[in-house]
Formats: sequence, structure tokens, C-alpha cells
Amino acid sequence: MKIRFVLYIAIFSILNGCAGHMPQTADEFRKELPGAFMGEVEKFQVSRSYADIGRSFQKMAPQCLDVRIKSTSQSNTSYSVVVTKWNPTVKINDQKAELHIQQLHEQGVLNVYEVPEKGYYMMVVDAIPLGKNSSEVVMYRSSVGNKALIRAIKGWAAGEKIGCPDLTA
Amino acid sequence: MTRIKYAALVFTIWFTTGCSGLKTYHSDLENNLKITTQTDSGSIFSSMQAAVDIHKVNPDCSTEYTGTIQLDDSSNDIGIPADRSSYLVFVFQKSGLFSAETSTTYNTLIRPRNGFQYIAEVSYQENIYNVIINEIDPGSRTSREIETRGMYACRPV
Repeated sequence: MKIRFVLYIAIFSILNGCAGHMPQTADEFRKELPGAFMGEVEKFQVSRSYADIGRSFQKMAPQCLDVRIKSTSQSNTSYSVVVTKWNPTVKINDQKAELHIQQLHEQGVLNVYEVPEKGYYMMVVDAIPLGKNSSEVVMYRSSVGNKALIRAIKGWAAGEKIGCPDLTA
Repeated sequence: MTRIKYAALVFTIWFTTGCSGLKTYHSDLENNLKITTQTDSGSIFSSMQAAVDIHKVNPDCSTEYTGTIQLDDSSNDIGIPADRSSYLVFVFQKSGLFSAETSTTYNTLIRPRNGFQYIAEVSYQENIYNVIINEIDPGSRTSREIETRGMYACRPV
């Protein structure tokens, strides 16, 4: 968890020339991530309507991603506890379906930058209609880590009964 | 068994069942829930243990822990009360030689219908866990998947 957090800070510090800014909205995240160090925009097509993909996100995101994770690390000289609340948000309108994933560090992390209400953005996923039963899914994410989460979201988008990613892994 | 081994076994059982606060779920009800489990920690240096905590759900949606069943990679048959809600918390606990112990849970409310059978397929593979519950009609033997719902779906009566 600490490593992931350091990665997010690194991505956006480099992006912003260490000017001290983290995206405060999903739109800012979409705009700033493509040029960021270790930022990746992945696109793929799915043979489902964007509304169906949004409904899958609505079903799975609260079940799998609305969690609080406590991690502890201990050495001979230190002991630390980090508590992180994951906050998923799903929005569906007549243009697209969106999944926002934010992490709010509740304990054990010094938040240097301004923190959005539900925490730092770690991933934004858009499902954009291409046809009646065809959509393009765009994932704004880090190019490293979160393999299980990425696989789960791709499965949800495709309508598979894939389950939940282990966010502690 | 030597006396030391016997003492160690007794201590282990006492520690894991009594001291930990966990108790084995026991019910005199007819078995109506079969749980099949498949887990893979993904590494020879780590192990995965799955379990399910069973909670009674009161009319005001408060819950009372009633016991735990350790899930091995086979199947377990248990009886849970029909026509009232129970809250099942599936726990996936991973421990490794070179990594910290972690646990993650999948929670769902279930309200079994009288006379119906239920099959829960529990899996943990490649860091993805899943619980699929099917309801089997005793008359037609047809099966339908029931939607898993968290405690947010509970409505006080």
C-alpha cells in the first residue's frame, strides 16, 4: 500500500514539476495522467452497451471496492499502521458510464497535497458507446501494479462473473 | 502421542477456537447450504485459508455472530435457518513466508426459502475472489443464481 501511494505521488509530482498538485476531479485526472510518469491510458472494445457496462460497475464496485484496508508493517525499530478507505463512484449518463476509484488515507500517511473529498484518484474508467451493443472502454491508470484490479474491471466490463480483486495483494 | 505433543494440540485447539473469539458453527437444522471451495494462493511460499462466518440477522438489521466454518478445498454442508436472513462473511486469509498476513472478506445477506437447497461456489485464484450462490428448487430441480447483497440491503422490520 505504501509503495502504491509513493507511486501516485511520484507520477503526479513529475507531471507537475513538483508544483504540489494532485488531480482534484476525474476530469483533471483524465487530462493530467497521459503525460505523467508511469501513467497509462488503455483502450479496448467490448461487445456490450455502455449502459450494461455501467450497470455491471454499479453492481460490482460497491461490493468489491467500497472497503477499508488496514496494513501494518513492523521492524526492530518501527511499527506503522496505514488505514486506507477505497471509494468507488459510478456515474451513468446519456454519453457514457464512468467508474472512479479513489483512495482516502485515514491513518498513517501524511497528506502533503490537497486531498479531494473521497481521496486521491487512482483510476478512472470510461465506457463510451460505439454502437448499440458495442463500447470502447478507456482506463486511466498507472502502468504498474493493480493487476488483479485491472483484470476484475475488464471482466466486469465484459459481463463476466469474475468476482472481486483482492486489494490487499 | 507424547505428552508434549498432546499438550501442544490441546493448546492449539484452545487458542484457535477459544482465545481467538472464533467458534465452530453448529446447527441442528437440516443441511440446506453446500459450500464448495477452490483456493490457490498463487505461490508455493504462501498459503490461503478460506472460512465463512455466519451471523444471525435481527429484525432491526443488527447482527449476532453464531459461528465459523473453515472451508477446505472440498465441500462443506451446513444448515442455516430458512425464511429469515443470515449474514455470511467469507474470509480469505493469506499468509506467506516472505509477506505479511492479509485477509479480505466477501459479505452477503441470504434468506433461504424453506425446502430449497443452496450451493455456494467459493473461489480465490490469482488474487481474485468470488462467491456465487445458486438456489435449487426442490420440485423442478432448476437452479438460479441469487444476487449477493451487502448489509446495506437489509431493511428493519
